[in-house]
Amino acid sequence: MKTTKRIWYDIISTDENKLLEQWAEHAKNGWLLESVCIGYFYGKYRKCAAEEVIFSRDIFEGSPEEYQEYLEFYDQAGWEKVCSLGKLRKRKSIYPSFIVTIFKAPMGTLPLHVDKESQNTHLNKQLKTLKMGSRLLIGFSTLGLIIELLDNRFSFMATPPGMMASYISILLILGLTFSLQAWAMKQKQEGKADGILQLKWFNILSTLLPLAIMGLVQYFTLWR
Amino acid sequence: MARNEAIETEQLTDSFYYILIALLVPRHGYLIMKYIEELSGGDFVMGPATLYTIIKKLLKAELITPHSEVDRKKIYLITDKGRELLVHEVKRREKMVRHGIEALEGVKP
Repeated sequence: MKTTKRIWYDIISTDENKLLEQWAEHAKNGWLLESVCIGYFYGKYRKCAAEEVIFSRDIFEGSPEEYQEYLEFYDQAGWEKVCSLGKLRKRKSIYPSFIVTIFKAPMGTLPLHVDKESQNTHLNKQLKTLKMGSRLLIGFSTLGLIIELLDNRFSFMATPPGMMASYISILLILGLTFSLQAWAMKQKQEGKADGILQLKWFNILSTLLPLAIMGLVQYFTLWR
Repeated sequence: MARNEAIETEQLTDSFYYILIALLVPRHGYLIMKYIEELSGGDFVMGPATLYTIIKKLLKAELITPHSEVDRKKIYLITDKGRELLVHEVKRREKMVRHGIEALEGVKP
């Protein structure tokens, strides 16, 4: 009998509540979330006893020692860690060290972000992490693209033509997806979420735009 | 940050205010939340995320201090500096309420 499974989410999972509801629904059916991939493209689940729980997501910024304290604090309030995304750095860096943690709690537990202040802080943190990820990915892919184009002209690298372009494309798709997620979240924060997120073109655009750019990258690096 | 500015200008937001009141006696995280809920008759509910963030800020501003640890639960207590600020804040809020009452009485039909 299968004890683990992978479930793919929408191409762009901007709606946090939808994800939280999905995880709760799967737990109710005996599948507990085990991990999620960066960008929330899919989640891994393992078979468990069916349980009625609620899920929540929170972003922590700080040191690994503080993170343990933070988990204990949340645990006391009834929120148990399910999995996390990201890594905390011990050394100081120009980029803030953060980790996204997914928690579960029995039905009726006081929500993590119950007050308006906390909801706004949570949204701002989400925006910050998305923007940071997006900038990094787009930055790396642009650099890669320049190197690939220069290699086409001067042939200084040993990699087969188009190989690097493929990697660049993946980075670019992720980077742009993060940008679109950040944009959609900003709309939500400004109270335009219902109008904009329901528009079909938004989902179409979020899929087609990275694909179009990937096509252009491939054209300039491989077939030209 | 707005909340940090609030501490610096010696004006507490409602969340900071209630946490300082709760820590007039030693309490840990969960008890602080419960106490605030009971004290306000359920009008003011604070989630763990807000509480954790504010506790970190209050510790940094030396308005509260770690008191002890029971079953891995950290217990906090208000400092003299925190108590001083709380007294100042109560007086400020009291004055504000009085202003409101006087103004309302002044325009009574």
